[in-house]
Amino acid sequence: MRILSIETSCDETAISVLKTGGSIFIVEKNIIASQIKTHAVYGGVVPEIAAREHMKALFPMLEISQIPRDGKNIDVIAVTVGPGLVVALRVGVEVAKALAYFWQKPLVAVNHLEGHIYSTFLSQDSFQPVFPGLCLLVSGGHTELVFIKDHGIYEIIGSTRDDAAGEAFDKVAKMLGLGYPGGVIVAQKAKLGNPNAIKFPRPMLDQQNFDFSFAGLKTAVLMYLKKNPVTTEQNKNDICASFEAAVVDTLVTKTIRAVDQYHPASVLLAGGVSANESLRLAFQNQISGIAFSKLYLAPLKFTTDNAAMIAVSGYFHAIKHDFINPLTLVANPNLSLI
Amino acid sequence: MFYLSHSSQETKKFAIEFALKLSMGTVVALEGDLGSGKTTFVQGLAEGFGIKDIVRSPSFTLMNIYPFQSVDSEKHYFVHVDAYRLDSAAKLEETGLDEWIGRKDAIIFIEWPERFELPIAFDWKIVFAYGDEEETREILIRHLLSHKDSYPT
Ligand SMILES: Nc1ncnc2c1ncn2[C@@H]1O[C@H](COP(=O)(O)OP(=O)(O)OP(=O)(O)O)[C@@H](O)[C@H]1O
Ligand SMILES: [Mg+2]
Repeated sequence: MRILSIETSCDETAISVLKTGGSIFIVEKNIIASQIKTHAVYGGVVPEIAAREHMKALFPMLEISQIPRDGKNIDVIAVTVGPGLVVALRVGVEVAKALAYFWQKPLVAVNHLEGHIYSTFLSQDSFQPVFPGLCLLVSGGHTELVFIKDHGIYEIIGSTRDDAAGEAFDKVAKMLGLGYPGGVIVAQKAKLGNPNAIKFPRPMLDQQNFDFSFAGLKTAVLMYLKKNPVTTEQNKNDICASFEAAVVDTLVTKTIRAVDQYHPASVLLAGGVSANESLRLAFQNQISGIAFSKLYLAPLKFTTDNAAMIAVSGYFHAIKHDFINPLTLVANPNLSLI
Repeated sequence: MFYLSHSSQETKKFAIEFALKLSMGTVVALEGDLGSGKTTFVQGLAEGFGIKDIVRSPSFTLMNIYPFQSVDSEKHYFVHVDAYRLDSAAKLEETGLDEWIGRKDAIIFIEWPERFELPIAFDWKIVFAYGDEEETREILIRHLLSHKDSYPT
């Protein structure tokens, strides 16, 4: 089965072509507008957030993907239907509907969050995650522990009550004058710092649930900076390292507790923040092997928003013939996972 | 109106009471530095409106919508917007916010409106500031009488 997928839920415009028989997923094309260096296709403008930019980017991207104009080698079209920004979502959804209608191809509507979960199927490992699984989905907008009973059957067992982990990274970067979004820079500086230099709070760890809270940690960093203005670069690195340690500690500890309670066959780590090296290492060191669960990390290039993950998720809907009529599909900005 | 809060619980309690003063169709601006308590206040407001969902920071998602039933069991919408990570007002269009403004069945709260001039007529402006202690916050509330003024007033 060859799947064309489209993802425009937020800042990125992305398409992919994925071929699979179910055991291995071959990403034939994976195009993300903001990553394309050849500005020529856009007349020099790098597409960004606005809907008209998604619109502007999509057709040149379909062009360079070399999909035949009649779509004859495509079997299924998958598109992100939500959650996300309504105006952005509509662009992808309407283009997917038009293609599905005129090519007469089955259309699958995919939940963006489900897409992130399925990004863990994209590793070139010959083993795929088996369910029941437990996924820590962690990004700029999400921090959730999802129990996956089987394909398409989810239970959100814990989530943030205020800020997402990625948001905390970006806001700490801003406080330290590292720009916005600067979460990645915080992580880089953390490598040069001492994670035990400052004792930042591990929010919600004392509570026996699977929820998170990062607003308090954000504020704790700000309060620390008010009392202890940064004087040296090493100082800054130590703050980054100590902050990162607090986030990673919290995420890992809660995930381990969830593994102990739910006994999943697989533990999955996905979402933009799952690219964080220290988090990946902590998962590898502390989680793989416990309770016979096997660990699957989303491959680095599929941690942030992309369309390949939408295609994988689309595949599992397609084999169940979970198709949707292109004439009636509408974007749903508030779509939830369950 | 001025209120000095000594804890996040106090801020929420004050917001629950303040929610009674707000009518549908209004737009509220929430200004103040990182961590000054805007989202915490909005969590209290949502509770005041009887919303059971967890109200999370919309900084990344830009806009979160919570449907709820009013006392007369009409369907209403609590719209929570955050302009923090945007770098121009034009990008706010992506959220479809203009489809919500002016609706009589929606009430809209916008964090970080001061980031740029928004072509929006605010009914209320609430300013949050850090107090002297770690857990004190000063909350200043102003009813903006002229509906013609766009931001900043
Ligand atoms: N008196 C108080 N009122 C409100 N919050 C308080 C108070 N004292 C401490 N806090 C803490 O400060 C933090 C406020 O964070 P919150 O996310 O609400 O701020 P914000 O203004 O929305 O920040 P941002 O600009 O990042 O959106 C919370 O962790 C809260 O527990
Ligand atoms: Mg906030």
